[in-house]
Amino acid sequence: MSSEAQATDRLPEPSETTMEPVITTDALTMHFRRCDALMGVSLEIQPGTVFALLGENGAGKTTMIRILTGFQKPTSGSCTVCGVNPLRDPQGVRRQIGYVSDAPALYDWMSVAQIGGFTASFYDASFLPNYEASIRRYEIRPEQKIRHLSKGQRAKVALSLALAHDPSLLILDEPTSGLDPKVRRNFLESMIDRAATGRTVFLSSHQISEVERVADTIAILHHGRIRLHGPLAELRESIHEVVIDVDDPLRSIAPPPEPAEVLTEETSGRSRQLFVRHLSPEMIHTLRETPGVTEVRTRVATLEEIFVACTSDRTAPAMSAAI
Amino acid sequence: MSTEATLTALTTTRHEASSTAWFWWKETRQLAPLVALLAIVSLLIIVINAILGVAMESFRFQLPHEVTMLVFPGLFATGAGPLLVGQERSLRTIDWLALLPISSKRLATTKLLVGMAGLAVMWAFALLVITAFDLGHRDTSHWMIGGQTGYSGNPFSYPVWISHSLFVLLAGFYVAWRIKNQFYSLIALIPLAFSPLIATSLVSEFSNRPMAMGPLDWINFGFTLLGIAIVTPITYRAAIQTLGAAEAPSVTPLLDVSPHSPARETNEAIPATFGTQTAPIIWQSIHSAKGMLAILIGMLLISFLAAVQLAAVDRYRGIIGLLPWLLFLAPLAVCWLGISVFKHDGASERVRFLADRGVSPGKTYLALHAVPIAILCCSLLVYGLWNLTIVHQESVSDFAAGLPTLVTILMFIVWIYSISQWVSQFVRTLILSVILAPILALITTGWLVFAYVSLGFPIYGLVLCGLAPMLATYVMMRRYMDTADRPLTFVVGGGVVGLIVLLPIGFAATHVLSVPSMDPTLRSELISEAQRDSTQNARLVGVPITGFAGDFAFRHDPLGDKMKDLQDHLGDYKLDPLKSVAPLKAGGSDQVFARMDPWIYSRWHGSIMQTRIQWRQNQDDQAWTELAKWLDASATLLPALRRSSLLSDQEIADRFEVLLIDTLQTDVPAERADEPAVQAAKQAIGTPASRAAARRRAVVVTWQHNFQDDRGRYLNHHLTVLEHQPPGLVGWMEPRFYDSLVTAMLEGIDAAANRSDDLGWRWKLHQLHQTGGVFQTSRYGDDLRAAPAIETMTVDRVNGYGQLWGRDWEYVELQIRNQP
Repeated sequence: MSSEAQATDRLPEPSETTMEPVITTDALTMHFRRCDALMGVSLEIQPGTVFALLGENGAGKTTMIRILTGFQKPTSGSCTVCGVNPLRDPQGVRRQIGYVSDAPALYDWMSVAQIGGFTASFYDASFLPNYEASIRRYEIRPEQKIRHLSKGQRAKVALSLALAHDPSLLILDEPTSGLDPKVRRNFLESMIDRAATGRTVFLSSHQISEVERVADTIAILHHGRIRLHGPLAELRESIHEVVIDVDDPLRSIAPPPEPAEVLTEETSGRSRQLFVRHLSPEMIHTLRETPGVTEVRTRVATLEEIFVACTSDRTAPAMSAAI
Repeated sequence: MSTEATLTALTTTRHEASSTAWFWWKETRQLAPLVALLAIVSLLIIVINAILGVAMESFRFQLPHEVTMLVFPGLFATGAGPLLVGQERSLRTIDWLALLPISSKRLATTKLLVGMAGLAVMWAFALLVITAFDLGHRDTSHWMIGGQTGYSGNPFSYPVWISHSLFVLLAGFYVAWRIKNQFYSLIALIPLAFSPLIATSLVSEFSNRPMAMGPLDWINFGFTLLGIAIVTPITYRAAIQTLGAAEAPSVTPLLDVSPHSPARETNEAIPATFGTQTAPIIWQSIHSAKGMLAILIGMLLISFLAAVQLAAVDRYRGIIGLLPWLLFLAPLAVCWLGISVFKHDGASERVRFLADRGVSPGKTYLALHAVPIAILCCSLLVYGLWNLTIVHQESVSDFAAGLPTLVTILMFIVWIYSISQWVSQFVRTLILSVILAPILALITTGWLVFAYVSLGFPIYGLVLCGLAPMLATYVMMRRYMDTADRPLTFVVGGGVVGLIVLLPIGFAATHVLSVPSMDPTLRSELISEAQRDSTQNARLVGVPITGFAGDFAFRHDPLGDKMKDLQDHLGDYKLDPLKSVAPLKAGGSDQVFARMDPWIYSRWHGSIMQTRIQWRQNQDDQAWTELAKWLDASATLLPALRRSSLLSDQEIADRFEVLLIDTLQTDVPAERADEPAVQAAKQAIGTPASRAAARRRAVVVTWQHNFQDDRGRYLNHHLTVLEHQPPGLVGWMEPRFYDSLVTAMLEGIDAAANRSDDLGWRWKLHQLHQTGGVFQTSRYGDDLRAAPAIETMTVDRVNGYGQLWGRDWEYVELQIRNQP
């Protein structure tokens, strides 16, 4: 049976894609001795999407992936992956997923062919042709020892191993680090193709531009909490950068009223920069009419700006004080 | 294996079988270095033993004790768990493996089964070697638990060895699953592995009576089986627990904790500051391996306390019997301190960190060694101070009496540490380093001790060999820091091994070659001469010596029996000379030769002296008849001895001549000068030329027969010089010294024949026979040679050839005096 045919067989019904999230987390909390990695994280990831989890270093991304893959028990909360509780049946989860960590630990004494043969022995017969095609595409010689591969080549082998059994969910932790731009581009396009065939891709990355290119849905994790979660297109449309020029640097300005949400505010002289969610034209008009405001400029924020805004600890105290 | 081959293999085998096969292949491949390493080392030990045996034991193969081979499966069992589990956990490949659709149960059991299969292979190998080389003793019942294990030098029966290695294997897996840090897991394994022995010793201690080896073997076996029964399920449980999801730490969320003390936070935030560049590296050395260093110091301390206890007791029974085992912790700790230089968790990152910051290799090298060497210096200081307080002589404890000096201990520590730190730089894997380093350190230490004791390797050579591995790691430091040490490290490693192996051999060879061998031309001439002379027509005729040899035959009898026997055999002590030489006379005087050893000669000599005294006292016919009988017999015996090709017989013949000349000159009156016995005695005395010919023939023939008689017995020719040579070189130097001996004797023979005053040959013989003595006052010196030979010659032994040669008696003008 070809991989394509198998992929078609496994495609979920359209109703299922909307009804059964491939990943659900409910109030996941993880406390370590010196930090709170996750604090009540609740998510739902629909099948057939490319989901990107964004966050700074130490935000809790890897902890969340470890919980989802059944390596770590959370302090509290629950989760399901492909309908299986990873804590009760980690093997059930791992059978259905492909996972590539940021620093994949492979047996460096094996050759590329040997590690493929070894891994293939635990999957069905389609694994090896897929793997073989993949490493051929990446132009890696099968007889090369893993220890002699470059960092990028190791990443390619790890990706090939994770993808060869055509998993319904692919979890990638910084997948493109080490890959050259050409391979990175091809790889990202293949992620879009995977999502188009009904598979789900869970991406943890710092590369905002890449995420921007491929992700359908994103979540931004900051200090163990989900700061932002939703379809990328909607989020981008809903967050604006607002620059307000005032006549007096000490003048306080009232924030936009609800449902607007000020993510960050920064003051520089007579200019105030705000990132605001759910900003309406009326609110802009009101701001322009505010006494002391000389000019108000707005534009849709980039994902990078959204990320910085969500992960910045500079909230809007002045604005609050003004209120 | 190419992808095509892999694909073919996969498509032609059943899925389940193929995954099992691949899994076993992977695990076996991971164990292969350990198996290969142990097999090579065990065979190396056999080869080294055989070579040393050939060198030392007169070219006989010497094999190691069976226990040496029985230890190797145990070493494998120690390393299997840490290698299959600990290393995978350390390198995080276990996480990748766990991502595959393999159940934890299958993963854990497969690893354990591969370990057991490896152990079985090791046992098959060990038993094959024991059987093939016939190690151990056949008369002890190895396979019977509680058999005569104590008599064979093997402390346990084979079933105990085998079951204990299985227990160690299981325990190794248990600690590897439980403790992620490979080094800590190995440390934890040590007491666990010895737990059956500890339990057995406790039983022996509390039974309040000494127990035989047999019952102890049974108790040990019982505790080992109990250990297997306990460790097996907990190992499985530990594996499942480790492979499952990690438990969340049971801590209070930070948000709920009361605010931290600002003072404490400030203190924690202050970074350590250092005045020099070296200080932070040392600080880093201590802090990056705190646990490891603490454990190693603990091991040294335990070993020291065991030594203190052992020095205070006189019997090692019960729990005290375990203390000698604790002594081994000290060399092990020294070894692992060496390993800690380049191998512990994060060691490579540490070196890499320093390399990236441009710290010089030399400074890094010194800083890496600073802490372990400081620990060792402190340990030596403590040992030295304690050793000063020990009364070594008349100590109640044999252990205290035999405590090595500080310098000896220092030497051992240098070797062990030096080799271990080199292994830790050379070998990439911590576990292999931890197992390989003690074995290599043991072999190196054994070799250097052997070189010092048996090959005469000088102390500066020992120091040089000890420092060579340190130099090697220093030379490789820059490349090691840049992870570009291969393949040069193999070249440098080969150099180190070559130096340690070849330097003592080189010194030994130089020492052997310092003794000149015989010129080849002279050798071939002498061999031809010896072959010609040894095919003489004369035949050997025995000289029966009548009478009792002495009263030593009765020495062990009660006094009454002795007296009775003496009465019964009264008169039997008398030696009849004519009866003794009768076979010689019957054989025809020119066709026979005789042999006589010094002890028989001493009896002959004593009898003649007694007869001479009787003649002097009585001056009657009876006394003369008796003396004449001895003169006649001696006149028959002397030429027969001169015809012997045995050098010792020529020495006896010389003594005979000295005795006869003295007798004729001193005791024979002029009126009896024409008597047949006197005439016969006069004719029997040779000339310098005839003596020289006989001596030369004997020298070359005896030399050709390697100074052995026709029955393969070594003659009384012991060279004192050999006692001053390293025992391992005696076999190699002996032929050269004999060459020197023969050369000197031939010179002496010529000098005696020509009545030369040449001193050279005498000085050489003195060096060979009386090494270390003062020449002038020796038996070859002028002082003693100026005295009459009859007064100075040894009678009952030959303690150096040629002492009578060229002395006055040889050239005396024989005159019969009128009155004695």
